[in-house]
Amino acid sequence: MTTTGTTGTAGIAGTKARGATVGAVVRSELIKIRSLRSTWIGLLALLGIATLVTTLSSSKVSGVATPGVLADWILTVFQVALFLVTAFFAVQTAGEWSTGLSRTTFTAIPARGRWLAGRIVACALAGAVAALAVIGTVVGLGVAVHGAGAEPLGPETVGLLWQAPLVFGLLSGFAVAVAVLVHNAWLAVGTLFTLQFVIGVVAATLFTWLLQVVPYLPYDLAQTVLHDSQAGAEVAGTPSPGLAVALLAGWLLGTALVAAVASRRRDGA
Amino acid sequence: MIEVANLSKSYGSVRAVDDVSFTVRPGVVTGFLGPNGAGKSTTMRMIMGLDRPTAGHALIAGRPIAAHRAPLAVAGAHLDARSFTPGRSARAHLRAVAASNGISRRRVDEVLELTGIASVSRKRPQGFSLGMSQRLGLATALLGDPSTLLLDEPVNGLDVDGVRWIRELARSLAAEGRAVLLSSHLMSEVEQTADHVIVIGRGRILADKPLSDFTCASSDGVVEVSSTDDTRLAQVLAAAGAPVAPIGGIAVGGLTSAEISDLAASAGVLLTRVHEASRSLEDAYLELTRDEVQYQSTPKEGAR
Repeated sequence: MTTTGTTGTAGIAGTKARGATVGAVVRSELIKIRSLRSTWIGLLALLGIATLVTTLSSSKVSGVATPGVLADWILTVFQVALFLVTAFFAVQTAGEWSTGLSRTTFTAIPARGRWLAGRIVACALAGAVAALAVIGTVVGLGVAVHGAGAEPLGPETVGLLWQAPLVFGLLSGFAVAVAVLVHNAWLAVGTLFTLQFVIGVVAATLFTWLLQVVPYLPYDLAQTVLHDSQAGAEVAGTPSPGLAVALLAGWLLGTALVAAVASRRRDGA
Repeated sequence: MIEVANLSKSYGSVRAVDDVSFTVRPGVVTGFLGPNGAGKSTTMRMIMGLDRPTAGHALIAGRPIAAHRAPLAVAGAHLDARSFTPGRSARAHLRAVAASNGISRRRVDEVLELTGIASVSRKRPQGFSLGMSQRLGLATALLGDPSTLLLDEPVNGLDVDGVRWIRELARSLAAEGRAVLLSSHLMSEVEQTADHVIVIGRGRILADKPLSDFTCASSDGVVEVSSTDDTRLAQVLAAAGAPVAPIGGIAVGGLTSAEISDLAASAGVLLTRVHEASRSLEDAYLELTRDEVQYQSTPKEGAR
């Protein structure tokens, strides 16, 4: 018979199962992310964009590629990458339901909140790695193109080494929570697109009172943090970088909480 | 062991499962039968915690499935042949599921061998036949070496070898002391595999008994006998109040074989043949669910 002890649970024939802990769920979700071809194609596409932006930008810089210049190139890539990475994780997460995998997932991990926590952590880690890969590509190419004329290390680039993984991680987790909440890839991507691109335009053109809210939306908070190390980054009416990180974490935790409650209440797989 | 108590599920005004209670015991293959839309899959999904019951509860090994530390070691479920991402290889799928419960990679190789898909484990299942998908689903269910198994239509899409394999697998799993709940539309399969049957119709339990009792209880109770003196035996049986009819022996109603044997012995008549007419599971099932099918075809006029 099945036995439960401190080391886990053993099946009828003695197969050991250590248990569906959050750590185990994170490992499981990382395997899921790694084992899809679309993950690697997506990463290559992202690095392709980084390469293109760096190459085009390098041709316009005749002098020294300073850390500030390199950081500018990285931030240009991030304008697109933030949306691409978060949309990717939203689509992949919503795919749990559209493919029927959720039946298997929730049979193995019936505690929906635990699964969501594991999924968020796994995607946050993967998002952070993607951000570091972009930085590495841009800086590496910049050094390669400019040779001795490149100065990769400076407060602008070093700052991004912790700011970018943090922001990409938080936003990737947020995208997962949105996808779990709406259960639909198109709806999840539409929500993220609206948050990043539409509300700002609507605010600027139709409802100017919205402009006071826009700096507190997730993608705008992310930009605030990413530009923290850049010279002259302070913009009136935007939260401080520290507050921006806290608010971004708040967006993630709040959405995750609502998604967990909704997930527990609905029939699901 | 699965214990289901007063389980109900409503979708709006539709009562899909209505106050269902039953127990699935270890060491026994329990067949779960019912017409389309009877509530079999919904019941199984509620047992596994995939759907929330409107009322009642389902326990596996004494607790709701979500309360177990390693759910896969307690219950393995194969509820749908397509429960995986088509673009992820079978091995990676199993590795991910195994990792979620802290199960070793070695066990992944074991279930791949056990289900006969080791040779295609590195392929993506988008090209799998229904039968191979069923095997992958079964491999997933067996990962945790669970004490309870829920298999929803596991033989769909399988060839003859596959069907026999499932039959033997279910029986061997039960023989190891596991509780096996198996739903199927193939009565012959359930008849050959299950020890116990639960029949559900329009969300309610219609029968919950050992297979032998189910088929006997549903038969017309006629026993055909022959003896060294059929005329004398017919008189004795008729005197005991049993309806008898000559059929080249005697067809006896209302008495069991043992009762007929006792009466014949007391009359000094030697029985030369006793045949208890028992209906097949299919006959018994159709008789029981005649009024419970949600979607019923109309016989073509003039058809024989």
